[in-house]
Amino acid sequence: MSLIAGTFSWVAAHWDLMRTALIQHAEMSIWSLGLGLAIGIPLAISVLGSERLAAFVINIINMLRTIPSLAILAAALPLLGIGLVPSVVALVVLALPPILLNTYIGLREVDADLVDAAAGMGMTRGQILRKIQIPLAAPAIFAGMRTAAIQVISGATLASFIGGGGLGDFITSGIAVMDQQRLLAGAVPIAILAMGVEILLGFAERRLLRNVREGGDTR
Amino acid sequence: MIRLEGITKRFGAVGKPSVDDVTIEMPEGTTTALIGPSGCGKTTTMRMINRMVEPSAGRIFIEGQDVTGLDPVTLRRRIGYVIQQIGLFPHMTVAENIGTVPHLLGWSRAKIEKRIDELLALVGLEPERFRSVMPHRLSGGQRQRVGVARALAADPPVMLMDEPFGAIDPIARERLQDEFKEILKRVRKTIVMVTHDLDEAMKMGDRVAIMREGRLIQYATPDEILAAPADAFVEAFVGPDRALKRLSLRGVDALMRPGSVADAPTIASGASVREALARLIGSGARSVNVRGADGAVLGHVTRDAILDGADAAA
Repeated sequence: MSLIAGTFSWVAAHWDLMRTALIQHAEMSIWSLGLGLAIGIPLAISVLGSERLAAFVINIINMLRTIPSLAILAAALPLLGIGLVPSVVALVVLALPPILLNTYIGLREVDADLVDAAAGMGMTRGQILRKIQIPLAAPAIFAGMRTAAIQVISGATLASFIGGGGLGDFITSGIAVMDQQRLLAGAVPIAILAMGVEILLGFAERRLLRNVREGGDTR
Repeated sequence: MIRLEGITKRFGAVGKPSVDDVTIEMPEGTTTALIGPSGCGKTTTMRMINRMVEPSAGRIFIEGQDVTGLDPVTLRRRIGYVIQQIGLFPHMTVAENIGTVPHLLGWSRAKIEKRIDELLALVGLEPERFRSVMPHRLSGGQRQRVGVARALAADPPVMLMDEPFGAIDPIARERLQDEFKEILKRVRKTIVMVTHDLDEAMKMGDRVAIMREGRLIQYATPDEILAAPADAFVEAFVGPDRALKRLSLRGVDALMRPGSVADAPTIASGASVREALARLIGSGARSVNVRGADGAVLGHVTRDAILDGADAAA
């Protein structure tokens, strides 16, 4: 009880630090997720036409996925130095696999008959993608984004090791000086942030994708 | 009018072509049923008309215009297209589905809305009830109607249908075929319909094109095909009961004589000779009365008239 109360009073006493860290953490996560989406979705679309190219790209991405997040961050340090940029780069690597894989699979699994019908009615390649494939793959793309968001928020904790800042700073320094209140002041908000985003995105998904989900199979 | 001139399609450099030098002219406003065993090239032939498959050789004319050099996207917006699995877009309402091509063509919203209601009424779905329904809430037959409405949306002169009744259960299928025949008669399109069901081809087609191994074997009216199959293959394909099948293509009214016969079974005017024959065999009577829509007897058909008629035709 005293630990929790202590944590609250620590947070209250260091509110400015707390706010800065929270903003850094959010900034890092949003940039990483945004870049992950900006790279992953077009990449998935561009490999859609060729199965060999897709297998190649997916294999590379899967290999990246096996590297522990801390190792990616550590590798970014000598190459890109310290601070926000190398942290974001490392986190993008973390965000890419779920976005790319989900988008690719979602797009590929759109019923071939629907694509045929759309083409036969005179839609261009781009129109088929925009009006048919992407809307129908949206649930899969969204799921990939959710996974990526959670991984990025958790992964951003480690950015503290290469001077990226964020809530991870309280954890690393809390461990270093054996200050449990400081440690919890970092750990608990990260957990709440991750869970909150998960719930929020889940809610958004249900609202935005009601039509597609209900639609399902029309055969 | 659709004219195919020496259309050939080869997939891959070697081997037999899937479609081999097919020449065919489909008159304006008629329905042509393309039929043949699987792998005969009927679907490929149809898909070359809207360039979903590019022909390896030959030319295609639609309303006199050579379309082999046209931009495929522009061409396809002028051709109605109904695929086997209907292919309604599951994330769009019935209205959005039907409005697809008009939307691509840049029609005004008001014009599209009006057209959607017109088409829903045409295919027998109440506009108020069905406009904003999602496809998965529709029955198979309703989906098929929406599919046809969608293909008709921009009033294309030509319509392609790939096994349009394939996904419908057999009981609903026959009723839907009858209704579609009426609808298609009203809209007067040049229609190419791929089917593997001979009865469907004979019923829906003003003309039937029979294909085998990429070649067009016979292109004629159902009656001509049943009366005079071009070769042994067509003869086997249409089956040994072709004389009976011919009877189902004819209306009883042509064989009718004036006057009503006492104690005879009755049949509706417009029914086929085959139905009349079935009624005669079933009841053991020698004549059947033909009744008009208002219930009055128009005349009667005798067993001899049917058999003589079949004789004369055979």
